[in-house]
Amino acid sequence: MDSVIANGQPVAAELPCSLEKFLVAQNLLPRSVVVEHNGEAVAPSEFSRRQVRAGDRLEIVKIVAGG
Amino acid sequence: MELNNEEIRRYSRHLILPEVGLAGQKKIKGTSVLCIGAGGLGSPIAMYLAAAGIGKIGIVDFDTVDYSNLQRQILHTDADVGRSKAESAKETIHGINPHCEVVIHNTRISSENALDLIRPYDIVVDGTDNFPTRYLTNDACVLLKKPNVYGSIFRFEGQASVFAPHLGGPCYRCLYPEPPPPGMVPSCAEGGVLGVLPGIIGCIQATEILKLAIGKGTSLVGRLLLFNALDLKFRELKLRKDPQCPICGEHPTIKELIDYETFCGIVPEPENTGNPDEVTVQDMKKALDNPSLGIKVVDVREPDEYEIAKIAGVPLLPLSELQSRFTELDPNTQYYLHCKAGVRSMKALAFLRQQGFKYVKSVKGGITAWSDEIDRNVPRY
Repeated sequence: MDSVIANGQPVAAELPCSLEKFLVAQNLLPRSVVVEHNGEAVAPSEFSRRQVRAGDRLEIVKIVAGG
Repeated sequence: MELNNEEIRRYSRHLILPEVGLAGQKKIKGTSVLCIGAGGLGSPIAMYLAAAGIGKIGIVDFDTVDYSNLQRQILHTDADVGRSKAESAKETIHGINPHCEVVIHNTRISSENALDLIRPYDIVVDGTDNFPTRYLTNDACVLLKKPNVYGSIFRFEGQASVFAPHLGGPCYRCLYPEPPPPGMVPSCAEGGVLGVLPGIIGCIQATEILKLAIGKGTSLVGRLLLFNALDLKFRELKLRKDPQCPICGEHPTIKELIDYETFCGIVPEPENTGNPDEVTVQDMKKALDNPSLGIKVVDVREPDEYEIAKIAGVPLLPLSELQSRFTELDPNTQYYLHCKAGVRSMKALAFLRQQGFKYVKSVKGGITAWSDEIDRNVPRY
């Protein structure tokens, strides 16, 4: 299976696929994460159109609310 | 805005910084900041802003000081336990700098009062601990065109940014358009937080406020700063304004404040009572006192928590191990499940129902309610 580098770690996934699909496959809530794709900011409304390919770099941050 | 001789002496280390100077210090004095929340983040923010010479600080907090706050909320002392956080904050701030005007709002910020609370201030700082208030703060700031200095913490990790669509940057909803379903993201009360973490993130927020006040440096607008205390690493993500953002996008659908509790899926209290899946701690006591009832009580918290506080005679079966160990339970026996506050025991209940257990109930309020209502000797954590 192909993989991407997410937060510095290799993560296997069915690629290529949309960023939205990738996030769901990783059990992440797409509306509750911030993503940088190959060094570029991606707005949540673009997640379903943005294609993720083998070898891509993703930085993913989950929402937290503590204060 | 002038500085008297005492103020000149007090702020001398600022005045000799070319980037601040007398002009910058006067700007700091002329700046008003509304601090939403006087807790972990609000503490270092309010204290450093007061020390730095911010002219007016508003504090919004309806809560009272609890012992479990003192590990990180340095605005409050042991002697303040039980007092209003807003009043305790005012006293601490005055002790640091009597030149700082402190306005306390001993109230819960809501859709009804948020715009009036925020309007008189130049900058808003988000030190809240829950999703409804974060979305409310964001939306009110966007509508009023006020910079929203954001910080958020959990366990060993924190985030900070400056949301200011009126300055060309994104807002909170450009990052997180919708809140996660209730119970999906644990709070610090459920998951814990390292005491110094809000100190670090709060100081970053205070730094951004001072930079906004003097108009110097590169702000966190358009960047999300992340901190991990275990690895002691900072990293940052680029952010962009979402053209489809429902409040600051090209075609906004949110034009006034909404009901944020409903938006975040929080069911109002009256509908919560009388949940047929729940029993009270009094019911649990009856089950423990009368084994002939045939009701077994199981603790679904994690082993570390069991070590801190437990109820005599109640065995442990952690939620994290339930999937592999549920066969140790009998699907035809009646069980009362308890956790710390009643959220995880509901999850355990849902799982066991799927496995064919018919007689499972969740104890409302968990061991915390037990400590409050049945046995004060059980520590509250």
